[in-house]
Amino acid sequence: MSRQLKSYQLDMVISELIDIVGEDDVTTATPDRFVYAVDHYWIPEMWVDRGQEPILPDFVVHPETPEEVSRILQVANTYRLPVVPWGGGSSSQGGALPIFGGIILDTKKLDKIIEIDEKSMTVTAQAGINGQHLEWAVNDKGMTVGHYPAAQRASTLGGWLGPRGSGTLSTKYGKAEDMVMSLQVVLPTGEIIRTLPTPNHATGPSLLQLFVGSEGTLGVITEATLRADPLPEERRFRSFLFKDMSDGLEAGRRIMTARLRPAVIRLYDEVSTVKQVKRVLGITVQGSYMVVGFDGFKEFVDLEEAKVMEICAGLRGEDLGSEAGWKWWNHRYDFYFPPRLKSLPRMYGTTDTVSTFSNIEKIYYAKKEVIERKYHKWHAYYLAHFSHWYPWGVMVYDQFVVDDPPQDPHQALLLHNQIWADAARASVANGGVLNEHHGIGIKLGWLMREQYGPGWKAMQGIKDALDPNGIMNPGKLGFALR
Amino acid sequence: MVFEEFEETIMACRMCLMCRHACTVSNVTQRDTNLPRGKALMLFAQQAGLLKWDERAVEIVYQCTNCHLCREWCVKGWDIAPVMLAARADVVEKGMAPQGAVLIRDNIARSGNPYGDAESQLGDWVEALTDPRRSRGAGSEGERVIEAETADVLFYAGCTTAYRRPEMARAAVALLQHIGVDLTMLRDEPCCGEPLYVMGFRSEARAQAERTMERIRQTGARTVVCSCPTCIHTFRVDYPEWGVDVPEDVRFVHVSEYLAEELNAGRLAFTRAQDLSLTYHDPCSLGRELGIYEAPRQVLEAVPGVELREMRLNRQHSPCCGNGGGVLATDFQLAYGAGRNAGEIVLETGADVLVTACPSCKHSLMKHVQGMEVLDIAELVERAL
Repeated sequence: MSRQLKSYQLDMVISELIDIVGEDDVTTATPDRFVYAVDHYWIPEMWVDRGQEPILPDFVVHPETPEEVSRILQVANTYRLPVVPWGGGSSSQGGALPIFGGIILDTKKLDKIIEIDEKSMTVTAQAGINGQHLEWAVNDKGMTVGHYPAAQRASTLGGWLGPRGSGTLSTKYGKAEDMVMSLQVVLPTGEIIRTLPTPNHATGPSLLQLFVGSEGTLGVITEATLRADPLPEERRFRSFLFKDMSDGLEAGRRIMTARLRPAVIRLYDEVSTVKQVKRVLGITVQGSYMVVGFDGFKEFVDLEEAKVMEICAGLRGEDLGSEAGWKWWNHRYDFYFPPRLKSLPRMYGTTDTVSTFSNIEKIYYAKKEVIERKYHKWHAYYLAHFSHWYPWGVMVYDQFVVDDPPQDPHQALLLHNQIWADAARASVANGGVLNEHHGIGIKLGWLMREQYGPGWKAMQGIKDALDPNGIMNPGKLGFALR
Repeated sequence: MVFEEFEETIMACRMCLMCRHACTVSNVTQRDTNLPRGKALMLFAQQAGLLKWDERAVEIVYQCTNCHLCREWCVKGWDIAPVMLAARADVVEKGMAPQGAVLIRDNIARSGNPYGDAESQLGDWVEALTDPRRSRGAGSEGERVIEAETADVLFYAGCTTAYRRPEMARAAVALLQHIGVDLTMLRDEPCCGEPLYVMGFRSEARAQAERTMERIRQTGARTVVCSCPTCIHTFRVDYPEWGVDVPEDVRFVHVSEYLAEELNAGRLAFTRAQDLSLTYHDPCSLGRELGIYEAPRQVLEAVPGVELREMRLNRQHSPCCGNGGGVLATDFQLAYGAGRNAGEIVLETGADVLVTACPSCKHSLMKHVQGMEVLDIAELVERAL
């Protein structure tokens, strides 16, 4: 529900925002507010698709400096206005939705590269920089950020850090939270702070990691320093076909616990395997398909590939060569373009989670069971692949799809939330978490207390201390509007 | 009408953000409303009755440089540019055309060109072209050829060349004279009509096209050479689509194509080495619209002493100069910002010279590549004769 500002208050806020950023960088025009009312979350897209108006912000503002961000937050505190940071708007969790109206703070004019330190291999940039632009800038110096999310072209640096995002090659290069070294943050009350210059230290708890994953609820990230990596001398792919998913998971486990560091392992469940192999190789097979990628010096890649082949052969994985892997790599983003993009009128959700090697298979079957059994009457189906691997476990990138959901937007929302809750609870009950790399947003915020249990008190205490008026992104991560 | 004509594109683009990094306009404004996704979402919402046309909606529709970069980065090739042009036609029909668009229409009606410059200037300028000192060896024959009313080859300058970058036409004519073609020009050269079309005045564009085609027909030329790739695109692609009767035996070629043809036929040779590094900027109309990427490169690489340094983004990914889609007339700041962004990519090459092949591109980029000389392809080639 949009907070109703009286005319005088409205004029005062506009006047103050113009005073901060200038007339060109504030808008209350309806088309702008409409576009910023729809991020990449299924719900607002469904609303518009079904002819229902989404919840519009009252103002959209485009600051260019952290000082401007600070002053905007001070205005928001004065008038008790919600502030929703917006980067690329590509969140699938409703993280950037202005569900209580207020101010959309678009960070994309904070788009400067501050420094590329070639000696230390780090890059410092403002948080609104486009992901692809940042990658191009470091590529020019022979480096890569190593972060290749599907939304690389659409998203911003701040958008990577806000929900602890992850990219295709995270198995080698890490998630956004692993790459970040330090941050500049504007606190909800307007103070501009910097976290410690290095991520590793013995100087108290990590203030850095408090803000990474905070999804705009604890302040606005305005600048970040990331670790970069050298562009690899050699990139190679190899693919395998296992009898079933269990064998594939075991192969992945052996690779990771042997402390090999492939750039990527993608293992498809049996349902996805049929589609994926048909797409890349044009043949119909049964089993579980795996692509493994390697980055680095040629000699290292040779050795790593040989070791991976040995492990896979030990589990009777059929070697399918390198062509299919390249095909996947070269077309890895094709799925995100319409009409192949999973989109309306279907209902869908990526319910990714992560757990240890001991738990992950249990989680997969628990989720598949609950989605396909409980929602049988909706012909819901479940498919998955495992694509971000850790030394101790793996992320399952799983999705539910309902091809013909209810047409009524309210009923559609209820069904959507029920499926999500069941899937997320199945993850948590079996040792997983609500989410691995898309974040929480409004979609999963209501389940955060369950996830954290008594630990939620610590989370809420931090929120209350940093954001006494509750202006920052209310309704997200489970934090309430005041 | 836009929704009916482009429903599929609107339905696709409204849910996709994958061209954000490339969109010329949103990379300046940084507003999501300016992305193809924002534009499509707005048009969808209007169709669904969730949004009304207002001043800002009209502004958004005119904030597109018609560069087609979104299409080039799209796996499925969805393109928001023609959607915006169709939406502008709707805006015109609603009587909501913005001031800049109306000015272009009125200028063409009054003066025959979108800039509103007096028509007689073109005639004076053609006179200047006949100066034998600029004919580079063609001598008096050059004058005679230029003054012919009918000829095998018509050099059609295009309004932006004629009124903003006349040095490009001088160079092109000098080259044509050097080659020794039977050449003519139109002293009353009318606008091709493209500015009217991009501003949404479709019936006016077609009427203008008919007038222009008639004048071209009167010259008896079988080949029309032009410095402006947008005019060439209009003649080659738009006229047939607009239903204008284009004689089958008349071909329209960009100066870079013509030079490549002459080079391959052995009628063009270079004698003066240039000893410089250059980068080449692919104009939107020549590259993405006409698919001509190699002809200009072939010509440039044939110039002795030239080191061609490709820009990081080249060919189909070449940055837009910002002057396309009528944006220069409706939103100067936006055009300037896009030019600045393109200029940064040009400057990364560290080349001595930027060569482009479009008067609008040259006009924009020369403001944004300080320390670098900016030349049209014909100007560079003229130096090497």
